[in-house]
Amino acid sequence: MADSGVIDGPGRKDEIERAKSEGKDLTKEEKQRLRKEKKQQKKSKEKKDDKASQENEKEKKPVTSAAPASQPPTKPTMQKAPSAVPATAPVSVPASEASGPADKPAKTKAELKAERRARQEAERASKQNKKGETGQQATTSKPKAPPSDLQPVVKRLPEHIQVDNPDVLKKLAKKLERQQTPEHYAAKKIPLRLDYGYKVSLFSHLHQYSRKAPLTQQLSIPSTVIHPAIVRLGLQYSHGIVAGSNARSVALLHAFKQVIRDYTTPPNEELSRDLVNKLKPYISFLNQCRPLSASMGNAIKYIKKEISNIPSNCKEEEAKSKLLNDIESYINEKIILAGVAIAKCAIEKQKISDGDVILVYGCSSLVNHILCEAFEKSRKFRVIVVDSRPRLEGKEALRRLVQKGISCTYVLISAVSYILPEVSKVFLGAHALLANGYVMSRVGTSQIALVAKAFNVPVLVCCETYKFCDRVQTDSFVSNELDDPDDLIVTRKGTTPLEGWQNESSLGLLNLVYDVTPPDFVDLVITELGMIPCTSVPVVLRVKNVDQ
Amino acid sequence: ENKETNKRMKEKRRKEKITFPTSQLVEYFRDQMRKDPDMASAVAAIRTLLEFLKRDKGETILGLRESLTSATDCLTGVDSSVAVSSGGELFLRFISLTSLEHQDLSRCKKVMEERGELFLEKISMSRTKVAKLCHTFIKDGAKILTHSYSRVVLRVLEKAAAEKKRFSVYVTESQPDAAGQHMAEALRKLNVPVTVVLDAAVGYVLEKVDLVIVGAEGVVESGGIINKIGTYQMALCSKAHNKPFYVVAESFKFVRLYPLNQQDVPEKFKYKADTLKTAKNLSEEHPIIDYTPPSLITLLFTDLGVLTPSAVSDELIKLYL
Repeated sequence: MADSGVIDGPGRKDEIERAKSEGKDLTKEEKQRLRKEKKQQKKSKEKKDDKASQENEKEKKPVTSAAPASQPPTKPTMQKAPSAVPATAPVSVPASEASGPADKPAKTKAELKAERRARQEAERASKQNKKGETGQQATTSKPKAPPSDLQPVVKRLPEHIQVDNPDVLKKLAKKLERQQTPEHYAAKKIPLRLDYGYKVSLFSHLHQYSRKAPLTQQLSIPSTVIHPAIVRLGLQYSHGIVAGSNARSVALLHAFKQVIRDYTTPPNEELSRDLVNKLKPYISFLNQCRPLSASMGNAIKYIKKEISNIPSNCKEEEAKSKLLNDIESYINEKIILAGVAIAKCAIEKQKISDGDVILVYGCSSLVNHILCEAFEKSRKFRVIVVDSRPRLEGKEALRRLVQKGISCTYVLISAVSYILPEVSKVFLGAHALLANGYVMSRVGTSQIALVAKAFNVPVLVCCETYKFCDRVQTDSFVSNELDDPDDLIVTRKGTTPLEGWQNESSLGLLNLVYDVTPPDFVDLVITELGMIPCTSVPVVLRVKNVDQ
Repeated sequence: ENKETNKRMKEKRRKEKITFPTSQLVEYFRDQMRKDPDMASAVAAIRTLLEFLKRDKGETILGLRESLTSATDCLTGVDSSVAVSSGGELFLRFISLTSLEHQDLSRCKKVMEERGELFLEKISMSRTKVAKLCHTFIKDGAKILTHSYSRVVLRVLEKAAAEKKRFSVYVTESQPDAAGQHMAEALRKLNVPVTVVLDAAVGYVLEKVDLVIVGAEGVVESGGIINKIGTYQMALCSKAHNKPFYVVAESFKFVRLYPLNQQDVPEKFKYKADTLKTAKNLSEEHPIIDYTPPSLITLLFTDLGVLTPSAVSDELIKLYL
């Protein structure tokens, strides 16, 4: 998201009007500002009515000043820093200016400004007192607050990694409500999924859901809000029935195709804008069921772009069939054909030669495809499948490879340093490739890459370009996914040692899903554009952006 | 109908005498090498290909491309270095990178010939560009280590000497052809103090040395280089001693290979052309090149600029995509 610099009030408003009329999607910032302004208008209307009582009752000030300050969806932690006040001030100025002449022409702008200034002074004073109380949360917000002295150009943390902040959770709940009907009916909202169990402190900023409490239990049936295909998809995600980044993206695109087929434009709306708005609650729902992957994010961006590019004079049937064709071609080009191209590249450029011993980890659809293709082209090699708990995905990979007739060995990840001297190459799949060259993949991948580097065995990562994302991450803590901790409980010889883990106060179970591998450990990335070193990912992203 | 005419033309071409038969091609190539011993073999190859283009009497553009590719293959049969094949491929890409939508084949050919001349001109300037970039990295009083005989490194050292810098050079003997002696001779003519060391003495001499400069026969996609055997050893030792390892190479040496380790380099580059033809069992022959991975290289000096190994892929993408 672009930084939100403070632009002049009227200029910004014009921009927003222009953007609206052109039918483009408002950026998140602009929408927030709009909402802020509307609320400011409402509040200033009320304030003008009981202006006298406000000035008299100074106790009310901390409450009322906290209210407008907490509404704007700028980071809630900002409200604890006094420097947030100048941020709210320029926003409230144009709002009240706009509403001023409409409401009470008798009040001059100077008088309003004076009132506001007095209020701000009082707010500042009360905040100085409050600062001592806020304590913990203020210290975490401090690194973000200082730069906003001159202008609130502060980088914002995404919401999904601020789970330990209660204000963010409140905001998320409100957002889910708002995304529903414009009338804010509580009965029709998407429920907020609650976290389960004790979270290890290093990862307390992430969500941790339980599989036994799916989101659909809180939905009414039939759900008028969410399309049944999406409900089914969400359930499949949260129970791990559809797993693996390619499978999830393809399932998502198919579900969206169904949604588009069943969609009819309401009477006074345009398809290009209304359909995008309809998709938003679905995406929030799916995000709650299981956090979106980078590939799904890219697919959604593509769909939204295609939808908003539909000309307004296009008939509904035409538009729908065009969208369905676009989605079909996306799946075909970016996923299926890309896989074929990658396999061809790997085999033709002699990356799989006779006598090779190839190590694979977990179950990557792309790596399995490459190995099966190579076997069909009669390359002589054998495969070592490394697996890890609790998912034990390697068993599925083993099954597929053995079915083809490839000779395989199966080990658990604890034996990887024992088996590596035999290995000639390591093939890994990826969940996403980050802009600084780091590879995000199933937990355990970076361990294998590290050990392979120590044994001087080349590591090859196979990844389609639609999984490249603009994010930058250097460790696995900042942004990850926590799976159901109950998965780690296992019953052996009749006893289940970890059964009562919730009762132990000092015991926490951690079931991480992803980890991040630095580019020094990866020798080669095979994409459908060719073989590139890990550090060239931003080049590909740049070339792709130019194309679009 | 178009397909029919194309097919017929191809047949015609094959039946009629090839205007530039293989033997003449090879003769021309050898001639070029003899005339100017200072010229890179790739440049000679490109000159030959340009001459081939001029004399070619083909009827179709596709036929022209095919014959150019086969001519390149033929030349790699004479001189199996990586640079010849990469130079040929780049030449082909460069001349066909314009719009060839002209109706008349002769006009198309003229365009291609002009592009070819332009390409040749650019690459003959490349050594000077590299020398200009690199000589500033040689400080006064520096002790340089280099490997075998490289004309580009020689040009760099010439330029540094011309800038009145005082430096001394250690050259490895570089068996099996003792090319290092040749390099030492050339350097003595420049009045640069030279010492010839054994290949085995690289580790011994590295503590006295300030920087290492080598040439390259080919630069691969990962940013690594293919060079005379012994380079990998030198790179490993300089990494262990924390000495900078610089590579000087012209841009036509960029090749679309991506070896993962020594055995991944294709066999056709590893041995001399004559050995490939005559040897019965290749595993008994000793390879003459090795692969140095990008992690051991500090900087690459090319006519496209001073690059880090990871930027090579960026440049290759620009050249090829």
